[in-house]
Amino acid sequence: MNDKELKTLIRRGMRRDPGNPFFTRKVMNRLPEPSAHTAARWVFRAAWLACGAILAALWVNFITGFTASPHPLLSLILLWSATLFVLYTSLRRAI
Amino acid sequence: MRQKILEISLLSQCALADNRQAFGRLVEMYSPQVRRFLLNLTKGDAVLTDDLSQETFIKAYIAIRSFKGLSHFSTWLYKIAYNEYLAWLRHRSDEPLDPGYDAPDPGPDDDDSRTADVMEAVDALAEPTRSIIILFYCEDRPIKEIAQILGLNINTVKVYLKRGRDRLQQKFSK
Repeated sequence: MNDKELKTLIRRGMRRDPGNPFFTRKVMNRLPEPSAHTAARWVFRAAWLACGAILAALWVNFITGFTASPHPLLSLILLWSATLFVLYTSLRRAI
Repeated sequence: MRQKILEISLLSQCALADNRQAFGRLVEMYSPQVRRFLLNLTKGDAVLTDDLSQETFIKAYIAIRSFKGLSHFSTWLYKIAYNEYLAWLRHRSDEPLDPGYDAPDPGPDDDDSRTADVMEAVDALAEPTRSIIILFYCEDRPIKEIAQILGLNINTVKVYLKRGRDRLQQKFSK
């Protein structure tokens, strides 16, 4: 028996899928929830980095004498609150 | 060519914009091939084929951004399907992974009985020879693609293919 005959024999004997009309719907129903849009994710990351950089600059300015508010204690509380908030949300996202 | 352009368009819609409708069209386009391949791998178990096919497409959807386009999309799907089948084989406890070659003798030498016996003989081949025979003869895949699907060297695929072909030819030449 040559290869062509063997191929014909196998192809004649192979199992045929009867098909399932609901297959695509079943797959679509089991797909995981769509993740955030890629572009939106990058915008969010860029905004996050910009916020971090502004916060770091404010800290440097505060330490070297500049205060955003006329009351230095209020500025310190504001900076600490913003820093803790950014650290907390970053950690939550990381974990 | 038109099909290829449609495939690229649907793939980019899935990868860039998470377009589920585009993925649904890809499922419709490729499910007959994947299901037929799995049906032959699972020796005709329709329920198992349905489960493994669903898992294949769900994994493809999750990993669609990792598809680099270095192979055909269908080759990538066959690879996922084959890995799903292997995972199922490993988790199955009642039968060994490698059944070995123990095909029954063919009956009377007429065309119908030979046709019926041929898949029994293919089913009795050891892995990965059986998968290679199915991909080569039933799915018409070239050797290079079979090597990609099974994660084997091209020469290894050729050796297994020759071994399987020789056994089947011996069996049906009697």
